[in-house]
Formats: sequence, C-alpha cells, structure tokens
Amino acid sequence: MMITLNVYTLNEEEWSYQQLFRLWREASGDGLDVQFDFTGCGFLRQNAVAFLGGLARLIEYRGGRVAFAWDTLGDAVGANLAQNGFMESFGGPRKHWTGNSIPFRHDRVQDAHVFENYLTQLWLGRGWVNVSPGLGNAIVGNMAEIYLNAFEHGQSPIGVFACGQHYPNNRELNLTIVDFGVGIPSNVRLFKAHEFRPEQLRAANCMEWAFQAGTSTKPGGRGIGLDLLQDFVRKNGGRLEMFSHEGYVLIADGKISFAERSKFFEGTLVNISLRCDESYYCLASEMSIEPLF
Amino acid sequence: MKVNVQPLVGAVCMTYDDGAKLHDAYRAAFDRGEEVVLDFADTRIFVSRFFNAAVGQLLKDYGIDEVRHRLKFENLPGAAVAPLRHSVENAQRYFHDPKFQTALDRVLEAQAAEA
Repeated sequence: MMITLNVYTLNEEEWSYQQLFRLWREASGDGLDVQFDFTGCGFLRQNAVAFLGGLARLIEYRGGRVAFAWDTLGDAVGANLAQNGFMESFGGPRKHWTGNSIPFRHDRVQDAHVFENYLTQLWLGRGWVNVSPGLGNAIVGNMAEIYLNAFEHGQSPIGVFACGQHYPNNRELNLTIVDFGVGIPSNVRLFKAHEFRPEQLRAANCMEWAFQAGTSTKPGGRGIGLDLLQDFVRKNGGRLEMFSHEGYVLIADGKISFAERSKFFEGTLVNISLRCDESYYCLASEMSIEPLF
Repeated sequence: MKVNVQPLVGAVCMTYDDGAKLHDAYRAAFDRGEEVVLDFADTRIFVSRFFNAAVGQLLKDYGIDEVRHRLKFENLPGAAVAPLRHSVENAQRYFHDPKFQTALDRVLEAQAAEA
C-alpha cells in the first residue's frame, strides 16, 4: 500500500523543521511505499531539499520505494528542484542548471577532497561572498569539519546529504548538511555513561556539552566536539542551527543557546547562514595570533 | 630538519591520513632531538583532523613545552591557526586526563563496533 506524504511550504522557522521531522516519523518503518506530494508547497529552502533527499534514500535503504509526484510541483519549486539537481537525482523530468542554487549532494562515503571542491567551487567560490582568499579558506575548512563529523560520528548507513542556496535579496549564503545516523546525544550519553544514566541527560544538555571547549578530538583523528565551529560562527556574524534528537542549538548575533524541542529526529541536521558582506568578518590578520599553542 | 608540506600532501590539509604522512616524514628527526620546521607555503584549507595526526600525537610522548620549542611552523596561513591550536589543546587534555581519555575511548570503540 502506498502512503502519501504531503510536503508543505518549508522555510527555516520552527514549524518547518517540525514538518520535516514529522515526515521522517511518518516514513519510519521497513518496506514502505511512499509518494511525496507537493500540492501545498510554495517554497522549499535548502534545508528541506537536503532533508527530503536524505529521507528518500533512507526509505529506499529500508527496503521501501519512493516516488515524487513531479506533476504536483508549482513552477517556482519545480524550477528550484530542477536547478539544484534534486529532480535529476531522483529520476525527474528536468536536468540541473547553474543558477542561485548550490547543487543537492549525496555522499555515500566520505571523500574530503571532493567535498572541499564542492564548497570551494560551487558554494563559496561563485563570487557571492566578498571575503579574502584566506578567510574563504577558513570558511571552507569549518564547513568541512561539519561534513567530516557527520560521517565519523553520525554513523549514518546512507551517508551525508548537503544542499546550499544563495539568497541575493537577503545577501545570505546558506548550507545544510544532514545525516540520518545516531545523533549527537547518543554519543554524548555514551561518553558520560560513568557519571549519568542515559535518561538523566536531556538532549539539549548533550548538545551543550558537545559545544564546550575540550570535549572533542581524540589525537588519533576523530572527535565529537563542536567548539571550533561555534567560535568561528560567533566571530563571523553567521547563524547556525543544529537539530539532533530533541536537542536544538542556535548561534546568532554572537550568542549561543540550547533548547529542548518537542519533535524528535534521530540524525543530525546543521543549517548555516553566512552574510555576503566582508564587514561582518574577522580580518585574516586577526586570525593569526602568537603563540600558536 | 625542514619539511615542505605542500609537495607532500597537497594544498588541502584535511584528512587524518595526510596528517599521518606529514607526521611520519619528520617523527624520526624529532625523536633524535632535532629541531623540525614545517613549511606550509602554498597550502590553503585546514581541518583539525589533519593536525591531530600531524602534530597532536606528539603530545603522547612529549610535553607541550618541548613540542613548542622544537617544532616550528613557517608560512602557516591564518586559516590553519584555529584548527592547529584546537588540535594541540585537545591532545594535551586527552593524553594528560586519564578520565577523559577513558570516556572518549569508550565512545570511539562503540562507534567502531557499530560501523
């Protein structure tokens, strides 16, 4: 039996994320036959595109089948999904082209160099953000940290999904990276198992812990901390939202806050916005401070 | 001893494997008590994992003061400073806080088992 999941207009406010996590919940289960219907959808941001692409692959991984009702797409949403390559990835009728979107991307296995090229050439390197080459390299490095974290700690069986978008009117450059793995709270609860039983640690507490300095990075190469990313976003006037289980993190206006949300999502979604104006950014010279360590 | 990083790993310093390659290139000289200079000319992208392997693992066998004294950096781009510092600070904690090390090992072993 086919179930139809309705995709509505999805932006970046809380209601939209609740809708995404509702779709994830309704599509849980093995061997489902799912159709996505866009009749009520007037707009999809890059966060929704990355999430829906990942959800479709998750359903397939669980032995199900996915169909997108392309004929229910409005002109604007259809153009967006065609332009960013989402439609092409799922057998839709239109090929991608270069515009204000940054391509939808699915990496089944980690390839740091390919992802760096995606960020450098297709996301940051389009001339939309007016920053020095040195600072641009620092931005790419920080985004690559998110991508590598998603692979190494997410343990997503289907890999990592990304999509970006440039909003010229708002002068914003956005990127979403999502995985459908075990989520940050699972890793933190395991880490703190000698001190707390799992039920004693709320998801928001786990997220707060993961963002603290010194919680990360085994010298053997892997880490679970996010303090480096936090520092970068705060200093550069960016905005970052992260969802994992019921945990929620917001970095905006130089401040970071943690909250518990009602809707559970087992994986991790990171949505980041950068301002396309160099006056918001640290100068490269400010980043080089002696002593090094 | 001086090691030119770019010819060894390329301009993009992102992976643990590339960091290990750099570490292997100078470790014997460092163990002999030599001063080692890492020249980062023509490199541009950096991720902390690279420095975990390239530098952080030195902290297992050497104190931070000795590493500071005998491991030098030339032409290090500004984009490399934060990941390098982050990596060294965490390595220092990992190798000198047994409770932290045990807890982190537990997480990473569990991840490896489930992978």
